[in-house]
Amino acid sequence: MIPIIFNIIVSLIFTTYEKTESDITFSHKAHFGDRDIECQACHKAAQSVSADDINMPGHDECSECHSVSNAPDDCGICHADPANPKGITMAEREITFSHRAHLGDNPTSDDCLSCHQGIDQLVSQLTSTEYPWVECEACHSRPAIVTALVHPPDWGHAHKFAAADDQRQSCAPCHHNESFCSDCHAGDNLVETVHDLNYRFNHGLDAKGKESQCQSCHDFETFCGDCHNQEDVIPLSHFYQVWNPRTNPGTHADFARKDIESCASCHDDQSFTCGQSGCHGDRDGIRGTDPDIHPSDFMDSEKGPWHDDPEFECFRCHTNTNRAGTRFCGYCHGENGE
Amino acid sequence: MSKLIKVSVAAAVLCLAKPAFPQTIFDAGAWTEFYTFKVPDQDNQQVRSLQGLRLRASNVGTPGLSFFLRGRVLSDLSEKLASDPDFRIFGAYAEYKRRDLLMLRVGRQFVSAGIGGFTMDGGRIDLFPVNVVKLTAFAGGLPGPSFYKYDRIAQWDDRNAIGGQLQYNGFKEFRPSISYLQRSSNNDLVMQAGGFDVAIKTGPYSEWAGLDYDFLFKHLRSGVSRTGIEFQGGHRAEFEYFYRRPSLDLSNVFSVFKNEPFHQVRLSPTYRINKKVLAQGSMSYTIFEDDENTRISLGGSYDGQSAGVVYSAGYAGTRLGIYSFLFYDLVQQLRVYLNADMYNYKLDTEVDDTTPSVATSFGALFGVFRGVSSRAELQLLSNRDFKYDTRFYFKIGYNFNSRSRTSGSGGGLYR
Repeated sequence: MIPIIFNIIVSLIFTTYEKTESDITFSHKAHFGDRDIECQACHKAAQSVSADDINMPGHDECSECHSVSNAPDDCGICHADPANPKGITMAEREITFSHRAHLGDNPTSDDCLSCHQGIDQLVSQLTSTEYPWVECEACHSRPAIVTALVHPPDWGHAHKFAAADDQRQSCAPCHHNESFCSDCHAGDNLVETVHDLNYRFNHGLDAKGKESQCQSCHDFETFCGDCHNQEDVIPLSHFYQVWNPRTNPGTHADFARKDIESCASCHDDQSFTCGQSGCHGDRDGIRGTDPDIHPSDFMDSEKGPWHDDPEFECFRCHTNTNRAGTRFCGYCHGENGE
Repeated sequence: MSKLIKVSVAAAVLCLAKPAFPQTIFDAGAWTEFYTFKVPDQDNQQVRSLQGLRLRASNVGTPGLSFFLRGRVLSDLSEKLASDPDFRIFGAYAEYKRRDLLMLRVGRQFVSAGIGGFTMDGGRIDLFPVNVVKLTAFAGGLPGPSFYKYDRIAQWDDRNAIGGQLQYNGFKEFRPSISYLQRSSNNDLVMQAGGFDVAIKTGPYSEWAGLDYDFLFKHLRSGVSRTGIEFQGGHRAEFEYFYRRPSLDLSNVFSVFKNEPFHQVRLSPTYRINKKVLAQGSMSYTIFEDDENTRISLGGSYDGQSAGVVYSAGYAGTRLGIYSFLFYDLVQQLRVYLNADMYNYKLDTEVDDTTPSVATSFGALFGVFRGVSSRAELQLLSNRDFKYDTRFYFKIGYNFNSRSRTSGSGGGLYR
């Protein structure tokens, strides 16, 4: 019940807000509805490619029919307060809507009315927030339709390129990026909206086969573990006999070489399971007798912090003898400590 | 309650001080979700509950000044989990924007600039020193790595990132950029990389290409080239080459392990039969040092309703299955839908048996009234190990925009 109340309270808070005001007393009905003056006579929206374009008529357009030079008497034709005319302050736009892309090259007033329905009957000026219009959602709301008609079918894979190319702002006309990305990516929904339901079972194929580059969008350190921990589910592959590192060490080693990020996403690197389990601990201190986990030239030419720091990472698995020529130190300095 | 949550709530309340800033534009939403399911091998039914809130207040006091907040709290109604209540603040920042001059953003934010793509607590500035150049710089503490720390302000000394991007927009059809990113942990440099990418759009052709180079490990981290061609009649095709070497920060002990890069090629043709009917395929081939993997999907859609077949084989396992998504609008504000998938798969080539799985969801989307929408869904899942897994999901959400009288974030009823 508390969550529902939470929603209602938030809804009530927001619905108390009013719209911005304007001092223009313009009647669309008198100009357009009664006199058949085309929209394009006053508005230059047909050439507008950005929501930031100012498509409202100014004194230049009005002066074609009205006198605007005899202030303040003429000002009263349009301004409610002729002594202090304000006009309309254009609000900052958060979208990149293109009128031209929607209207085409030679729009008619009917084209305008298909979205701004009923504006020809307005007798008083409204603020830009109150104009009657068909919401974008009338065409763009249904995700299945959008996927088919607006986005290419492989959009699940391809959208990261469009998002990265933000100079074209390809997402912004329909989506506020910060919010919309989070709907799917941030994990603040309880059921995934990106993949089909069966993905719960077989997503391992795509992750392992690199079909889905999860890391390109998701933080690998949290992404896998977030669901696996939440539902207390261990990857099914770990139950296979071939996965057992004691009987079949090659399988999980092969996986680790190809996908070490996935290992790190669930296995805590602070309590290093690979070393603490005893499998990868350098117990005998003899080079070459333990599982081969480092690259062949690993740190060979480095004079790293392990020389001075007895708590350094290396000593989670290797034994620090502090004597050149023996065990860990001898790996690089040789038996004679050269 | 953590400091980050207190700061976020205080800022939100400040923004909602209606009389102070009558020109402020609000775009906001709140939603509640419930999801019930039973964890295998456990007796009790889990009932997850999520409450989310997003708020964008623009022109707060002065034009160009905005505040953004997005967060949620997750808890379980059946039993208290170790993480309950799990607060996460995904974004909480103040932004000042002057068109074609600068954008300054301070607070918790997601940064996406070249090779940088992460959440940080810090500052970002976009500058336009001349109108064809965009310079981005950012620095901040990194929350995590555990998500359970997402309700706290990240400490700079624990983990931080510094980076930037330089874009040149002077060419009409060609936009190059270079970027840089470094991460430090406990004052040690643990990741340092640079990137170059270019976007090209000329006539029916488009291209996105990029390279990332790791300065610490001294190797190429990734490279990608994606070419798209649009044909007359709405047909199109994309070809992609992708190279990547798995990468971990030096602070992660797993970074000392050997790792292998892989190469991947992908072809995705789309044939538009008519305005409503599409046929689409996607073929990818991934090459590891000593393995390979193939994935093929073929499908079609009619006015958004879709069905297809997926086949995978190779290193990652095998899979053959069909999927479908169907819906019907009973009335304008009520849609029912059915999502059904059947697969036969195995996650390892060395395993003999394949596992059949079925997943079906049946649900309804209902626009209660303007701005308020709900979704209810019954899910049925079954495979060899998780038989007859039945789940129920319900969501109700409210979207508000003080300018357009509905959600400004896209999606509306059907999010």
